[in-house]
Amino acid sequence: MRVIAKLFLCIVLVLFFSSFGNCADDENCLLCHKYRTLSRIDETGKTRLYYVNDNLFHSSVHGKIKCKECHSQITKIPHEENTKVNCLNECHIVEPTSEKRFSHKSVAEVIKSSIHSPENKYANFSKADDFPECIDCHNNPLFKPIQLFKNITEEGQSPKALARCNLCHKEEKFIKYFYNHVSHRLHTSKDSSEIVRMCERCHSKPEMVKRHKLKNAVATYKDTFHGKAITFGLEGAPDCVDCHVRENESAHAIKSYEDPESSINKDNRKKVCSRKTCHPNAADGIEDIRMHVVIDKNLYKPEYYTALGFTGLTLGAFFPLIVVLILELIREIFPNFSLRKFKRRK
Amino acid sequence: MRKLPLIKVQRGKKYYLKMTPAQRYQHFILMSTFILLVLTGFPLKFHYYPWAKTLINSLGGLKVTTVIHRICGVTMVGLFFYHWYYLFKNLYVYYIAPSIRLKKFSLKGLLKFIYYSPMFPRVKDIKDVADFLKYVFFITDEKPKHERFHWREKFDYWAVFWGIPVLGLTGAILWFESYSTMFFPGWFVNISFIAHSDEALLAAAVILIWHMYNAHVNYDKFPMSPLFLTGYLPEEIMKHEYYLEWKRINCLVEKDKSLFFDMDEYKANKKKEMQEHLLHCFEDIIDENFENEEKKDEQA
Repeated sequence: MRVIAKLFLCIVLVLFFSSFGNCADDENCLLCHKYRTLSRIDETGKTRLYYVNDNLFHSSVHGKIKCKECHSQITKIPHEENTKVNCLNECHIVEPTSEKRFSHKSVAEVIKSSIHSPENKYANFSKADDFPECIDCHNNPLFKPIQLFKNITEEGQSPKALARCNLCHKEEKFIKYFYNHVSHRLHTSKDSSEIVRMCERCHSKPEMVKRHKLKNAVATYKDTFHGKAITFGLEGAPDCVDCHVRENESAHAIKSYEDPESSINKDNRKKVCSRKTCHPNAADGIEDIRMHVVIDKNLYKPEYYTALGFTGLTLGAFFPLIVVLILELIREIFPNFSLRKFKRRK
Repeated sequence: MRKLPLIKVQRGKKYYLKMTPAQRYQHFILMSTFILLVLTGFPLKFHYYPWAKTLINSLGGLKVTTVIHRICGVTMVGLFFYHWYYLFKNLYVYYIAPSIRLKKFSLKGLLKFIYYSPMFPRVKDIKDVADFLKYVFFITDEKPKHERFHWREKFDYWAVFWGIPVLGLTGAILWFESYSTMFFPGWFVNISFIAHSDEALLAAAVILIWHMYNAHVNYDKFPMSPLFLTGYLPEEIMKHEYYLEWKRINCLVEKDKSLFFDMDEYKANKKKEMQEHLLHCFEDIIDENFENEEKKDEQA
């Protein structure tokens, strides 16, 4: 019996320490958060999962940041309640050009000037709750490294490029991290359909659309050829960001169409349409083609009356035909029944 | 041009000419382009249904279907122009040229000729519709007596006649969106978009339900009327639906027997000829063999 008990203890100890050996977090958060079922049901009845996948986290854009730098309000175990991550925290990473501690504060300033801020004068409704926070759009994406070689862009890290890095930089981990950091920014981290889905989360909500005196922008967009091209997976089709963001600006700086600085302001719109990759030969007036048409009598008169006319035509042509068809079929069931008889019977 | 027989007899059944080969080919081009246009266009209109993506992918993806759609659209518009040519050619061949030859040409005569051409809507059609209503409301058991094309076919014809310009023009505006704003205001492109898709829906609904019913599902035509393949209609349908045309053709054939073609007789004759020919050949061979053998015997 004793031997078995000792053996069991040994196994338990080995298992316990072996789990320590895997994790590389200095703060030891994974001691608990590595368990896949670590969760609770919160006050609103939602199940909240606190499991952290170590591998996934370390290949994400925030993989080098310590847990506590974002979750700064957490000081004890069990943790405090309602601790929210503030993305504007200064973290311990040093921004190499200014040698100051890194923070997303500059992004917040750009957002402030955009239509996605309650303080913007073009906003129709200015309750802060309705405006997006960082995590409404960003989901801590994984690095999506790309390799470019002879005009072919592929996923993954290019061994040729890494070999060049290796000449001067020695630490493999650093090289790969830096490679991902740079190549991640060579493309949009979300593909077009993901961007449409992201905007849809707010811009298709009926109550939200109503509050802000807007129309369902994503549904109307999906009805255009632009939206349909995205739906059917045509590469290079324009998504929301392509038109609503000025060229060479961040997507954080989206402006209202009334704002003279906006890319879709009446004076700037043609420039957007006639970009090199879109409609380079566009004639004047292309900016007047409406992209978010709703069948509304007051907003879009010609469209409304065209749709009305065609609906009338369709119903007016189609239903009489169906009636004729049905009448004839009924008549054929009783071929010999009629009020006046002309046919001579044998 | 080869003169087509108005009545053909095949396996003891009479068949009446209704569509000439030129009309049949036009119908065939219209039909195939229409089907392809619907297959490549409707997934875009109903993009929110799951079958739309499957259909587009099964045809090779959006890059392929857009090309198919444009090729078919251009073909259909080309057919439309060809049809105008065809109409004027017929007008020239059947009215203008003969009337000038006989020195009887007049504008009134020309208009009269157009009015009485088979597809032109006439007062007779209103009478036919009234007769049809009398029939379907059990007032009479007499069916309306139609001419070569009855009002339903005329409706189909004129729907296409109006539909192709609308769809072709709006389609071209959408195709060349960069240039269309040179000639039209921006909202015109938007209403073209609406008109293109709504008119297509109307056309497809009419074809898939109304035309399919009239030409395929209708009780005396199921599974399909042979008209679009052969150009001839069997006598029972001809008499049943196009009584006046049936009478007219019979009248014409009585006057001119060359318009009547008995396929059975022709086949029987051919067969007989063939048999006789074979018999001759056979006899020749037997004779030759017989002579040869005789010669051999003699030599022996």
